[in-house]
Amino acid sequence: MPSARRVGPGLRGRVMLTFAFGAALVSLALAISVFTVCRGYLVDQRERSAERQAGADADLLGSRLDSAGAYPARVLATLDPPVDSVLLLSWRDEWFSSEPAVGPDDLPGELTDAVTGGTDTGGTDTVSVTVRGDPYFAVAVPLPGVTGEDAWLVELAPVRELQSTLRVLGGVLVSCGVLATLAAAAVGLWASRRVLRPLDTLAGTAAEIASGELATRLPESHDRDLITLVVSFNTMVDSLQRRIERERRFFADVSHELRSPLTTLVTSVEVMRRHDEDLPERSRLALGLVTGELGHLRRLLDDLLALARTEAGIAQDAPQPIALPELLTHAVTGSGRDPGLLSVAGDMRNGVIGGRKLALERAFVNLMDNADRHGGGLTGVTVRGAGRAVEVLVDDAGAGVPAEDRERIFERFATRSGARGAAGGTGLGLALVRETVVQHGGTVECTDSPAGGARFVVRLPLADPP
Amino acid sequence: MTPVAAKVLIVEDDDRIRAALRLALEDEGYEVTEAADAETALGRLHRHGAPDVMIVDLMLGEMDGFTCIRQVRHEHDLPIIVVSARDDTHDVVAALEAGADDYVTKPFEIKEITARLRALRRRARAAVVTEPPPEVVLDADPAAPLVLSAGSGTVRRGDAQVHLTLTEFRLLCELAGEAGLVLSRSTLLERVWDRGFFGDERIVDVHIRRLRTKIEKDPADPRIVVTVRGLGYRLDAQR
Repeated sequence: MPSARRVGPGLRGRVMLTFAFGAALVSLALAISVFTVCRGYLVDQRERSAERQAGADADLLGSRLDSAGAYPARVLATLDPPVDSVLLLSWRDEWFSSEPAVGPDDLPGELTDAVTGGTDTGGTDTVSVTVRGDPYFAVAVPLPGVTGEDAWLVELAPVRELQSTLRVLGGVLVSCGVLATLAAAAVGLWASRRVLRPLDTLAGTAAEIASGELATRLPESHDRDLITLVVSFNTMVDSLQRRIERERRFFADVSHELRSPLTTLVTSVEVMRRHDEDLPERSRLALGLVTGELGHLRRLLDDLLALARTEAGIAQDAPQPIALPELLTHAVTGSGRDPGLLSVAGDMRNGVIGGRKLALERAFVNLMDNADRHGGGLTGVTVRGAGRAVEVLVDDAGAGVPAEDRERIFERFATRSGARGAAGGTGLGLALVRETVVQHGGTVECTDSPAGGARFVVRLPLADPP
Repeated sequence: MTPVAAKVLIVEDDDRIRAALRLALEDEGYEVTEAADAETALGRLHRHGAPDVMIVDLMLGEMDGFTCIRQVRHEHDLPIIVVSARDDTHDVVAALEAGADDYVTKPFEIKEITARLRALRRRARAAVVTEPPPEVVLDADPAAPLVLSAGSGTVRRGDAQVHLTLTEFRLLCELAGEAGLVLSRSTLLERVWDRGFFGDERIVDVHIRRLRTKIEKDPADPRIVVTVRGLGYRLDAQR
C-alpha cells in the first residue's frame, strides 16, 4: 500500500529555499547598514551646509544691520538665500521673516525659547522642523557684531530633496535585496539540480535494475565525493546479481533433480496402470494410492517451483495481449468443467489484458480447484468490467470463509482444515494465485458470494487499446 | 497393432527415465531404440539411418542436446521432440532454434509425448489440411524461381532443392494453402503442431525464422513470409 503521508518540499526545494533565505538575510543586513551609513552621511552633509549657509548669512546680515538706521526687514530682503530657504530674524524682541507666510509661531518652542531667552551659546544645534507640511533643518545663529543686542538669525534649510534622495536609495536597496534573493533562489535551484544529478542517475539505475536489467551499473565517477557511493552501489548490485544467478541455478538444479525421478515414477506408474488387470487385487489398490499421491506430488512440485519462480521474478516471458474471456473459456473447458459456468458481461466480451497465458491459466484453474476442494463446488465464474480494470468472480457453494481467515488463506500451506490429503490441495494454490495476480498488476481478495458461499475477486488492469 | 511400427530413438542420459519411456512407448506400439548420449545417437544414425522420430533430452553428457540436434539437422529432416527438466525459457527457444520441432517439459504424462508424436507423424505423412495446388510458385524471379511442390514434398529454388524439415515444409504448405491471408499464431500452432490455446506460440515464431533463412533472399527483410504485427503471418507469392 502506498503511504498517504504528505510529501514535503523535497531536497531540491529545501536547497533552493535555503539559498533564497540566506540571500534575503544577507541583503537585508547589507541594505540596512548601507542605508544607515548613507543616511547619516547625507544628513550630516546637509546639516553642515545648512550651518555654513546660516553662518554666512548671519555674518552678512550682522554687518548690514550695523549700518545705522537700517531697517531689519529691508536688510533681510537684500540677502539672497538659497532657493526655498527661509530666514527669520529676531531683533530686539521682534521677528522678521523673508517669507511672509512663515513666522516664529511655526518654529518649535525650544528653538524660539533658546533665541529669545538670550542664552548666548554661539548657536544652536540643527533641529528638524516641519513648517506648513515641508521638512526643514532649522539653524539658529546669533548675529556677530551686533553685540549687546539680542539678535539672532534662524535659517530654515529645506530637506525635501534629501528625503526624496533617501527614499530613492531605500527603494533601490529593497529592489536589490529582492533581486538578490530571487537570483539566489535560481542559483540554489541550479546548484541543487547539479548536486542531485548523481542522485537522479542513481534512481534511474536502481529502477532499471529493479525492472530486471541486472547488468546495469552506475557509470564510474572521478568525483571523490561520489566514488564511495558509486563503488558501494555497484558492489551491492554485483552481489545481488550473483545471488539472483545462484538462485536461478538453484531453481534449475532443484527443478531438474526433482523432475527426473518424478518423470520415471509417473511413466512407470502409467505402464503399471495400463496392465493393472494383471495385478492382484491388493496390488491394484496400492497402485491406486501411489497414483493419487504421485499426482499430488506433481502438483505440489509444479506449484512450488512456479511460486518460487514467480516470487524471484526469474525466467519470465514478456507479457502479451490476452483476451480474458477466451482464456477463461479454455481454462474452464481445459480443466474438464462445464463451459456454462462461465458468464461474461456484455462490455467485457473483448476485455483484453496484458499478461502471461500459462501463469494466468494456472491461477484461475487453482481458484476453480479451490472452489471444488474447499468450497463445496464451483458455482460460477463471472467476468465483469470495473472501470479501467476487469473483475473475475469465482463463486463456490460452500459456507464461505470467516472474515478473520480471508487474508490467511493466501499464505502458503494455510489449508483451512489443517488436514492433508482428503481434499487434495497442495496448500500453495492460493499463494500462487496471489503472486501471479500481483505480478500482473492486479489484486485478489476473498469475500462473500450473494448465495452465501465464498467469492474470490480477481481484479486485473485492462490493456490500453492499441 | 499398427502394421508397421514407427521407430523412435530416445536420447536420454538418465537410465531409469529411458527404461520407463521405452516401456511406455512400446505399450503404445512404437519400436524403441535408445542412446545414453549424443555421440552414441549420432553413431547409430550414421550406421542405421534415421528413425521416424527422435526424443532428445537437453542435458546430456559431453555433447549437450542442442549440439546433438544441430548435428542431426545437417543430414536429416526427421521430427525431433525435446524433453527438458528445466523450464528455463531460454533453453526451449535455443533448442527450437537448434532445429527441434517441439518440446515437452518433465515430468510429462506419456499421453503428452504420444500426442506430440502423433502430430509429428501426421505431418511426416504429409496429410495437409488445406491441400495447395500441386505446384505453387512462391517467387517468380526468372533467374531462380522458388517453387513449392506439395505433391512430391519438395521446394526448389531454380534447379537446387531447398532442404526443409518436415515441420518447416508443413508450415510452408499451410501458409501457401491460404496465400494472401493472415494466419494467426494460434491457428498455425493448432494446424501444424496440434496444440491448443495454451500452446507456446514461440514454437511458431522460431519455425518461421528458420523457414525464412532457407527460402527468403534476405531473411532480415522477408518478402515471401511476412509478419503481420499483432495478427500473425501471411504468405505473399512474389510475381
